[in-house]
Amino acid sequence: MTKNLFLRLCLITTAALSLQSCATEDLTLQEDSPSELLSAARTSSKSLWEEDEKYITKVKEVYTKNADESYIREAYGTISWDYAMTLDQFDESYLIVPVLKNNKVVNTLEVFREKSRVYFQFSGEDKEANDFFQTLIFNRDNVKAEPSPVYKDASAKSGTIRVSVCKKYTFIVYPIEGAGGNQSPIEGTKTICKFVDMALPASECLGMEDPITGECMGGGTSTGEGGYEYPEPPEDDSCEKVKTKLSDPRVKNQFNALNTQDNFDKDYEVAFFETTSKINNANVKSFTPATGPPCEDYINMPSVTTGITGFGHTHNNYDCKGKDNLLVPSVADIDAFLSIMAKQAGSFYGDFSKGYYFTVTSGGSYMFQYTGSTAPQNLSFNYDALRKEYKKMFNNLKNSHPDMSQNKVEEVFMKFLKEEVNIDGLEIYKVTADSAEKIEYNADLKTVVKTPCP
Amino acid sequence: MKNIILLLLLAISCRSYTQQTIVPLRTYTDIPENAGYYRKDTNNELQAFEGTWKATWNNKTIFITFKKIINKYNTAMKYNEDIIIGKFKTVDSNGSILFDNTLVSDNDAKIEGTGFQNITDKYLMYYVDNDLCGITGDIELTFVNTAKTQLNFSYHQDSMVLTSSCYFHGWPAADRPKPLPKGDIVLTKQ
Repeated sequence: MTKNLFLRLCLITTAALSLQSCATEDLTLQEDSPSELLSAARTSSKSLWEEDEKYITKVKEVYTKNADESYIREAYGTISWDYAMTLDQFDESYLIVPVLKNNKVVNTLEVFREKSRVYFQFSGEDKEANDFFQTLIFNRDNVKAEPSPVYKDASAKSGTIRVSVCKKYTFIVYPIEGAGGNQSPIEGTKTICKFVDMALPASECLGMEDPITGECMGGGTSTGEGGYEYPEPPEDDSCEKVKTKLSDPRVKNQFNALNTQDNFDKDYEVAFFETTSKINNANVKSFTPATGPPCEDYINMPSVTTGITGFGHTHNNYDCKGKDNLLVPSVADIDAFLSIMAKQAGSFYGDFSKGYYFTVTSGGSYMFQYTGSTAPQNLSFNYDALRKEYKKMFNNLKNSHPDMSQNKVEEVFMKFLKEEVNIDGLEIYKVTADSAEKIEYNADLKTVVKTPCP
Repeated sequence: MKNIILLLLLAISCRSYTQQTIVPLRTYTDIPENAGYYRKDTNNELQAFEGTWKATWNNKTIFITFKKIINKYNTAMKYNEDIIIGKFKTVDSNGSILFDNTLVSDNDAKIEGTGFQNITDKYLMYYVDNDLCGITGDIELTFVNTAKTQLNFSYHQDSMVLTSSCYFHGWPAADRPKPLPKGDIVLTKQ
């Protein structure tokens, strides 16, 4: 038994080495002509997964324009762009690519985007990533993609980027012809994860800095605000954030459960909370349903709001006396969203925009998202005064348009949000389970502008 | 010199007064913002609401006083208008005061009118009570009799999300403050 096991281990090692030597020749050719590699567009992805090709291409352009290639090759190795991966990020925000020296993956290069700047970071310390790329490049036929874990998350806090996406793959060792014995393929599942807070390189240095003097040791430098200018950044990252939230099947299910005629016909509100908890240093979400008491006009937030990063509730059509309800968010909704969900998202994810708040109605569903730079708890505005302004505006509408068409209601609400609330970064989207459009108020034209998220 | 200053002040005040463009209270088209418009009670319809009114419901009695305010700037709509404001006192069956905002200034009145509704002829008001965690609601007033001594008071309280910062968060529904009668009730002029 032991002898058999030893023999099989030997076979595995032999197989791995022979496969590696086969692949080496091709790669050596590539390394011999690095300038060709650089200038060529990424002709074909050799990743196991679908990648954000747009981002990879644009990052390559930035790199080609700014990098001191001979220094990079000497210091880190040759970048193998065909193997660049964006780890399920499709918002032009992140990539990781292997860097080879002497036919071995010795470094990885990660490129982060923050608005219109990209930041390059070489690392030789991520053994897991190096091993993965080594396998992918030299034993390409021996790896296959596995479904990614359902849970993925990318969060950022000031000055850092956390990418916590795991990709699974299976490593297979096939039987070796002529080796004899009763062999069958051996499979092992591995996972590549980026799960650490990484400080953004604040300097202009594309390569490493001298740890003592802080001077750029080469690789390319930019000037000014750090990082490198990224061409034509996505116009509206916010849309991507909304779509990311709606694409979470758990959030979608909660939304769908609220968005029913049965709920709109009730004389009380129906709701759910999303609570984020830290478990083993990872953010884990759970969802709790809630309802208001029958024939009453309130719904209670939990007493302890720590970790409540998402909330959804209905505005039913009528109260139990048959009076119409407004089918747009209220001042209390704005208050609750900013003071609880946006704030808690900042605490747990380092990103206020991770918080969300649905108001689901028969006239359409609205979602708040906060992308402002000021902490929600530091925003100063007078809710007491806002309540009065809100009521004045809607009562005026009721006077002139007793039918209260949803278009007019929406217009008044957007005017209120723009002219009375006026918080930078407080965004509202009209959403369905599968789509979103950003809605804004154009004060000059006195109209609501709706921009569908692509 | 004094006379010149006085004349100047008089001229300025006359000018600013005459700059107002008066439109009737029942104007339902858009009124330009901050353009000197005054939505005036030209037919003197608001007069009939003025005074103290009383009603009883659920062993509670409300005394509500309506008062006409002239030429007040509407900060949301950005024009001037004539409106009715309301202040009330609610007592229980023993006469103990449950709610009383009769002493607040006119500017801080919790009930404020916004005008007659097109077609229905109801006079609409809103209620905002920042002392009760920001409860808000709408009131519709309609005279019940031709003598205008009885007034239908129809109140709808808005739904709200209650956070733990509100003092009655988590209280049973029956114990929560209910300052105004929900639904319809008839007020009688005192």
